[in-house]
Amino acid sequence: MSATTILSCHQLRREFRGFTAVDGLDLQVAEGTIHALIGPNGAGKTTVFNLLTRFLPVSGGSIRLRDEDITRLSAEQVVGRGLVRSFQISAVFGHLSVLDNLRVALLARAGGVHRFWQSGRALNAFTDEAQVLLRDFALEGLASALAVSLPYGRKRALELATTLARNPQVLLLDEPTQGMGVEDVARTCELIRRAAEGRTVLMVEHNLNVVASLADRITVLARGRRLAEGSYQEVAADPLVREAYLGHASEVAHA
Amino acid sequence: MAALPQHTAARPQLAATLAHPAVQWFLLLLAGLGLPFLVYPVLAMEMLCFALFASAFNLLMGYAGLLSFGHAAFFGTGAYLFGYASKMLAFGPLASLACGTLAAAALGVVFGSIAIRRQGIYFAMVTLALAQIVYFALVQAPFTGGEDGMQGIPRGMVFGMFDLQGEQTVLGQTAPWCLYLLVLVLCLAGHALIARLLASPTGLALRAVQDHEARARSLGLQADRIKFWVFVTSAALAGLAGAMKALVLGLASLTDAAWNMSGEVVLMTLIGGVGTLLGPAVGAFFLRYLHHALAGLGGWVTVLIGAIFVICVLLFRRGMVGEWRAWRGAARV
Ligand SMILES: Nc1ncnc2c1ncn2[C@@H]1O[C@H](COP(=O)(O)OP(=O)(O)OP(=O)(O)O)[C@@H](O)[C@H]1O
Ligand SMILES: [Mg+2]
Repeated sequence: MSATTILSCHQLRREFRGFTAVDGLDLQVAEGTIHALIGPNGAGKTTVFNLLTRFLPVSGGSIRLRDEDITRLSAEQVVGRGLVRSFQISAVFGHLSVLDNLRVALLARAGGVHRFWQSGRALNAFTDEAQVLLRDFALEGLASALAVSLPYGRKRALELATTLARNPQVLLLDEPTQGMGVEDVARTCELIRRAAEGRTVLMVEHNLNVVASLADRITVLARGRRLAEGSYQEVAADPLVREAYLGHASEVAHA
Repeated sequence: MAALPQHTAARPQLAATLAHPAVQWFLLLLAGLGLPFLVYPVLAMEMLCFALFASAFNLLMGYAGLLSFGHAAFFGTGAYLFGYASKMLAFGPLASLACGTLAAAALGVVFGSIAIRRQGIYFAMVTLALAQIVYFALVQAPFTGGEDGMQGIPRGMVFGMFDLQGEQTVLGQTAPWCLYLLVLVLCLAGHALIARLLASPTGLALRAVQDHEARARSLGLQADRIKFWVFVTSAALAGLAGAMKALVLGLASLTDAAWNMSGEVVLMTLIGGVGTLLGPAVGAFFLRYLHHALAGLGGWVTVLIGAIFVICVLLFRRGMVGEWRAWRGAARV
């Protein structure tokens, strides 16, 4: 990998009342790549995401985004720097319409949230761009539906569309295909591939087929530590990884 | 046959006209003007003050998801500061109303800075504790008149022309109409401000924050900041309501700032319909009218209102306006 590192952490640590969930993690994500973070349940993947996006304070270590140390920034500030995440459990604004889900993200990007004196018509400025995203994600017929009423696969598509509306340079996706049927998984893979054009993606994913087909580089996490790193073939061949995935060993080999 | 399409076209047109915000505000104004013909004018004005108070509270509870148990502090502060400005400083009624409102807003800044990061029950507890401090401060302060309250607050004149004290006869109804108009217009203006705020870009962001705060923050919405300013706005409007009540009754008393008052506004909002624009006003009208109509029962009024509240919570969880909207929504499908 000759590309420059865009997001990295050094000796990252997080403790929950004496329990160390992330234990001295070093991670470098190269610009323009899709980087997968995998590992067994409870390995600390979501916690790493929470630390990188400043949703949790770190217990130790540092985080860099490009040339800047972002370890002490707030969650809202890192979004402004171009680092945006999605959530493991589908997160949409259920009582807002599909269109408003997108418009609120576009509004946040434009920095217009404090304009309390403007009428609701000011939001129309974002409608065209929202419509384009709706079309890209096959949601165009659902613009006025409440997000809570969407079927699961459509909700996750909306979530991804909303995240992209914020136009991140680095996109953090926490299990984007979790709980989906085969068809939706294939569709979502395609959407992620398209979203990754001109961006950097760091994704947590349990579905190893998805990882194999999308990821340029893979980091395996176990008990909060880095177990292995490399291409899919390298990682799949690693005896330590096979051991950590014990029950899944055959799955790793065949995927 | 030719008349049929015309007929069917007319109905949506009427519905569209009625749905226009300007028309709805005008209808509310008309309804407000009719109120003194139904109940005696001072009660009507008191109802309007409480309607604004409940709507201010609902802005916080219904749209920011924050249950404050200390809103009487803002209501009471508005009332006392209005009295202080009008009686001690001899300010005119509008300037005195502004004093009450600004004092409540300033207090809102203090409460908000301390409480806004607390969640759920902790937010309620912190606001209750802070409101108790304000209550005891008002008991002790030299200008508040202690247990007796501040009495005989003058109403004064607006623009040197409109005498808020005097009574006029309109359509056979004798009432302090100038005062009534002022209270009605301010009450409607407060509601219009809330409606406008909720429809604004900030209102959309607020709804997103209430819906899913973590997701809102992950998109870069500054949830705490938005909630803080909504809190201050709610406090200011509660202060205006309290100041108007002191203007109407010529009295600011400790009951305005006591914890019962904080509870009363919760009741009004829940009974009328939390998170609906007009629900809290309807709840306020209903409860104030009940207090008045059942005044003969003495202490039993409280028991009765408690019973009504229990019934509402058990059977009509969405409140009066909320249930009506749900019923209408279901009927339409
Ligand atoms: N807020 C918290 N308080 C206490 N413990 C926590 C907290 N968040 C995570 N943990 C613990 O940290 C460990 C790592 O959790 P994390 O959610 O990061 O795992 P994960 O790799 O994302 O797992 P999964 O694949 O199930 O999503 C778990 O043991 C979990 O119980
Ligand atoms: Mg996880």
